[in-house]
Amino acid sequence: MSKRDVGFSNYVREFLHNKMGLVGLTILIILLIFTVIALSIPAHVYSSWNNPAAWSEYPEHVPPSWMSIFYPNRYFTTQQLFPINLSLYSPAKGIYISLVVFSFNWTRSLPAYNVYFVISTNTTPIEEIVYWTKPDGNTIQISVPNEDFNVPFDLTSVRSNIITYISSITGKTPNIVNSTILSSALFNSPKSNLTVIEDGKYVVKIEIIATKPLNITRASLLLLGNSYGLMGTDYFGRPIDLGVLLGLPNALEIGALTSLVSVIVGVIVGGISGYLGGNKDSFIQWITLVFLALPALPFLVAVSFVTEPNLELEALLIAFLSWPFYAIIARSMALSIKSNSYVEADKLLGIPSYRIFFTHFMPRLIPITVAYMALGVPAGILLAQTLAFLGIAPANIVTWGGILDAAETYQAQVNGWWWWVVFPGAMIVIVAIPFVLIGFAIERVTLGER
Amino acid sequence: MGYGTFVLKKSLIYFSVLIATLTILYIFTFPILQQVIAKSINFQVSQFAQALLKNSHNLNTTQVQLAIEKYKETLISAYGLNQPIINKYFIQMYNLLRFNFGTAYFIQAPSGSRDVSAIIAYYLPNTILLFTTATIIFIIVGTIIGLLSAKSRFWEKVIAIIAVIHSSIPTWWLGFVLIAALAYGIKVFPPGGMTSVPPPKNPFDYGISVLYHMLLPLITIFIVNVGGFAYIVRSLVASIMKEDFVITAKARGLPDSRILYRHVLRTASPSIATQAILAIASSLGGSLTTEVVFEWPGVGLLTYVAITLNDLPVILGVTYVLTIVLLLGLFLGELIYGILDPRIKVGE
Repeated sequence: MSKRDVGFSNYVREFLHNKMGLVGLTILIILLIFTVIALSIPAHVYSSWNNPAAWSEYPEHVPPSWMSIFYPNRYFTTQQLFPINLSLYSPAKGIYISLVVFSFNWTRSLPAYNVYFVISTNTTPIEEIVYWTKPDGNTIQISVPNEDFNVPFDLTSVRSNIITYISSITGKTPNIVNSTILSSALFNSPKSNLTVIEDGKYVVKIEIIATKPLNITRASLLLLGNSYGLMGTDYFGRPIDLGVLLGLPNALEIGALTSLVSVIVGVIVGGISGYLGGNKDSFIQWITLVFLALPALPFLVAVSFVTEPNLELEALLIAFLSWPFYAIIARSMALSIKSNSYVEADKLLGIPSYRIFFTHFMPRLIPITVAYMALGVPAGILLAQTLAFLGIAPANIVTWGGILDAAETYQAQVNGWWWWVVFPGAMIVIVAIPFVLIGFAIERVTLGER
Repeated sequence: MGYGTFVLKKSLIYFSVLIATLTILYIFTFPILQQVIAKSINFQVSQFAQALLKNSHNLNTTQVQLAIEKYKETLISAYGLNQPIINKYFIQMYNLLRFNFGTAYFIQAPSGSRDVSAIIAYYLPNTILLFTTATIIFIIVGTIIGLLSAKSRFWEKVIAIIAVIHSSIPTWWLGFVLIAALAYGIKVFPPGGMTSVPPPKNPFDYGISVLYHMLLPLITIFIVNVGGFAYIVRSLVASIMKEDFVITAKARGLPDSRILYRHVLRTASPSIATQAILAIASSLGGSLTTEVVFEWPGVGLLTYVAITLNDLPVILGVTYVLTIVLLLGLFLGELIYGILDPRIKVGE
């Protein structure tokens, strides 16, 4: 044991002198602030994570927006435009035409990733027509199918007009129709057979024809960029940064809960085992061995087929498997305390054994217990994320392992969508590291440098 | 107490641990186990019925029905489905100890057999090949780094950093990133699998192909685990350095490296050996996700496929086999410890 004085304030002072511990504590505080932010996100965001329709307005599998700093010609962010002009006129009796006009300058060498038209009105119109005017005055007319009124629609939902336009210019119908092909028709010059971007001022007019004068409640034009946010988006357009944030609370919860339960159980069992010795010790060691022999991952997989655990149950199951490791450590600590002369002296004096346990054993076991609690958190987080990666996670929560599982399923590594793999995984590491640092620091403070 | 008695005592203890562990598994998986057995019986009955209809044309339909019913009943009593729970338990334990894990729902061994133990027996050697090689490499390098750190401050700092990495990086994620970078980004390594497709006919080329495919998983497992093992060795060595005989040796003026390699390493070797065996045994259980990422055809990938197909018998079978492997590893560890550390044999 440490030669230094045993005392709480001493430990704290020693701890704060340790660089590792301080760094760990700082990261942990930052993570806790982010957890509070994550917990303040409304519940419907969490539940819509697995609903692909909720993310249709986001660009799909695009890199983080800061990539545009390194590659300004290749990446750009989404531009949201608001109407420069809103007008209503009535050419004949009973017909009212609302005109929404957008205008923007396009100077990039790439077309927008996709274009979203967001128009909401108080009553349903009978027809909507989009006039897309290019800088040279060329206009593409796109009529919107009836079902798209009042719902934001993108180029793929009005594709037929654009495909007709493409085939009229190039003389052939494109084999693959995706938003990039459709968008290139809107941004490329017809003179170049739609291969060169037209620079300059674009004007987009949307005509809404109705039988009553209508109020436009929402109007904007989204020119989707090919980059998004801090960490990009995945296959469905879900922003990775949001997923990373949503996954934080449950990662911390499962880590903390697992570690708390398994270390307390382990230290009590191991401490008592080492303290009692003899046959009782052998028996407790036998039990420890029984639980040690359960292979954690296959066992959890098999059990989750029976119980479909929620977060707390999953944490308890992990704790159920991990306490023997701490029991072994606590037992060897207890054995070394037992060999001290003051314990022998107390025994000779006839002091009852439970009092010896509480006066000599517990105070010496507690600091190391705290160290192992910190060190146990990453193990719990890693195991829970690994389970999620295998597709076994409590339903309705967002986990980094789950995000990585999806990345594997949609072959992010083959397609070069590195941001989908790197950031959620890095978060597992970033959350684990402060606990490891704090654990090592407490261990050093308790046991001495060497 | 001689070594023979020691081995016998340990064998008894480990056998009882095995039974207890299997019992826990049994308790936790009881509901799905019943389901698995029922399906397995139905499958065997349908196979029996097919065979009967093909081979015996002289029987009429009632006779066939009767024979099938009779066969089903013998199966039900053989699996103990109609018996009290305590009998069910004993029958199941007997089956498990005989590696009889029933019939897989969908997965087949390359031989065409749907017997779970045959399927696992086909995939287990691949897992052992990869993970035992990887574990031996990181144990050797980890021991060297751990010993070096006892001598120099530099290596101690390095160990602290790599031990932090060890405790915080999931192997499968590092594998994922390395594949994206080294197999798809710059195409240095194959992205997965055990051999190139189609597998080379020539045994030498086959071996080279397997080695080439093993390289990236080996690197990944090495990076993640070497620090943790070095940290264990370091703390073992550090605690021995405080012992009286080391201080005496230092007082006698022996050179540091002689003390380290002759005195300290000899004293630490039983513990290091135990840790090594434990690492090898538990690496097999932890292989699941790493194999999935590298598409290595071992029990891990088998389990993943079983999870996606909801093939419960295979999942249960793998769990049982890995439990037995882990216990076998622990048992061997104890025996080796007994050989290396003479105090154990005399029962101190």
